[in-house]
Amino acid sequence: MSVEKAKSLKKCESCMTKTIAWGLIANTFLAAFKLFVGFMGRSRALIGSGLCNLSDVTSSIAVIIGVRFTKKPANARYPYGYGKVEFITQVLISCFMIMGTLALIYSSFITIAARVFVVPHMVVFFVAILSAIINGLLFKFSHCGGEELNSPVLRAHAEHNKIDVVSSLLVAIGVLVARKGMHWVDPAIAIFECAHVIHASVIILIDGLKGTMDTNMPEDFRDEIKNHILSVDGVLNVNKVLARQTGRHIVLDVVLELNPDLNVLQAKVINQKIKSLLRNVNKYIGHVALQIVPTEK
Amino acid sequence: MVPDKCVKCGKIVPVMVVVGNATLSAFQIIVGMMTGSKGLLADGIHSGADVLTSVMVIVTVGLSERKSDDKHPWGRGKSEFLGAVFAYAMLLYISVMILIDSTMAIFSGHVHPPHGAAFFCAVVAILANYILSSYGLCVGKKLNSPAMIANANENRSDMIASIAVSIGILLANCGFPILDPIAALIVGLMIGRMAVTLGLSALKNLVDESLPAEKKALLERVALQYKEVKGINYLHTRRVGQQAWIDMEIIIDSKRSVKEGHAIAREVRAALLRRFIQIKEVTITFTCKENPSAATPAWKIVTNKIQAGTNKGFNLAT
Repeated sequence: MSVEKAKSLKKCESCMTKTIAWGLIANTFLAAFKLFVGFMGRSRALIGSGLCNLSDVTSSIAVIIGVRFTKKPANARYPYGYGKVEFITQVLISCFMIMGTLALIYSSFITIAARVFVVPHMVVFFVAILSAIINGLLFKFSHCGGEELNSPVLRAHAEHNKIDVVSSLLVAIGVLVARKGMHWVDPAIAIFECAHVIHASVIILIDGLKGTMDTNMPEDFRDEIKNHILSVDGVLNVNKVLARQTGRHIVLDVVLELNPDLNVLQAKVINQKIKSLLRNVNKYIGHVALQIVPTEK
Repeated sequence: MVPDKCVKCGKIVPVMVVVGNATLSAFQIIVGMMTGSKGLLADGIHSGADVLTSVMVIVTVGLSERKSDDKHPWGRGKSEFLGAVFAYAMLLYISVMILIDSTMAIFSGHVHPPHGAAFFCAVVAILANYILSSYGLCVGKKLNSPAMIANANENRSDMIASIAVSIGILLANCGFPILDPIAALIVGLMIGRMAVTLGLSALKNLVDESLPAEKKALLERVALQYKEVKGINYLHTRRVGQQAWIDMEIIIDSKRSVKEGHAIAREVRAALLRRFIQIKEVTITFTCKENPSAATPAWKIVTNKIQAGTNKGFNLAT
């Protein structure tokens, strides 16, 4: 990896940590405020949205823990590093999200069934809009960071922020409609919102589970790696490319064919060329195991 | 030579432990609820925890024994750890509930002593756990199965919990009603400890923790038995379910050909697989000690030779 790239990654990382910390603070306040106003203003949807912020807070904490672990370098006890902690925190985040929303669905059904509708106050509307703006900004930062750092947990976190935006906007609409006299809209929106959150959480959950399960990377990615290796002088064939993710990094397991008469030192030259080439084309490639087999004549 | 009798027992014991614990757990929970003994109820959950882990192992081992395919080239063994993490997270939750419930009962002051029947149930649990654990220990030691021994020790700790619970119930009926929730508290702590230690070990395996250092030393020793192997550059190990995946780089003489290097690597791999049954697969790469920059001129000649010998075109510019 070039120095410049490493520098930009580091910058991105420190920017990311700050964003998450600010997001944590902002969402804690938003959650407290929304839950308070929601209970006072009797808006189920706002309570739901507040719970959403609350789960965002837990998710931020999980992200901070996950990122702290990933930074630790690989050692004798963890030869592949701590990257997979990110997958586990990702699973944790999605479980928090699902649990929070299931509770809300239950309470919304009760409101609709009991037919106790109260007109929400206009304050609710402004809080919801404020929350949408804050989470929109947070989404922008975490999404960019997730892509740049190739961090699964940050991507999950960004998805979480996006849900908050949608839920806040829905609440704002719900308040306006409810004030026009359609009282059932508020709890109905809450239910719709929950279904949306659960759908998104399940996707994040499956993604995290796949990561911990050592799933092979998609075929087109592996083909690309294969072509890069084939472009190195001396490589006669590539028999197998396996790729798995450990958090942000990719671990490769390659079987390649070389001329049987080359000596080990020359094979080492080829190996080093392949490794530096791969790390240049993809900065997330971590450990590479190159198994050499001689070509049959 | 293991006697036939023990082999037969080895097949029966796992089934018996699961069925025995499940029956015991149901019995304890029902009696605990009927007699109002918090201690017995917690102990019933404690026995049930073993059943839960056993069932989870049966389910996930079935999954991890499925053949590895293109999508899961390393197999599905990690599902065992995932299952364990979920099961122990649930247990941790239950143990916290027990702790809260019993602490509240202790501090609220008005505790009714449980019915005397609870005591007999607790005694039955002690006996059942004793029989299960001694049977399991006998077979486990004869067959040298760490899993079975661990399971038997689990039942031993269940027995200790049951003893605490029976004492709690007995004394609760002798004028110290607070001792029953205290017994529940102890059992709750035991469940919590089990959930945390076992859950953490499953989490570590999900993060690809390496095998313990002494196991790694054994692997290295086998590889170094070959005089062609001059050293080991790195040895990465990780667990995939019950089995281990080995990733190793051996150092050999730089003068040897790729063909020889491959033959050595294959032999080391075969030796490792022969020697340790718990290895799923071995990936061996080879390298040499020398710094490659010194060999660059020689390397150029050889590439030209290859170019002449094969149809593959080279881009000499790079």
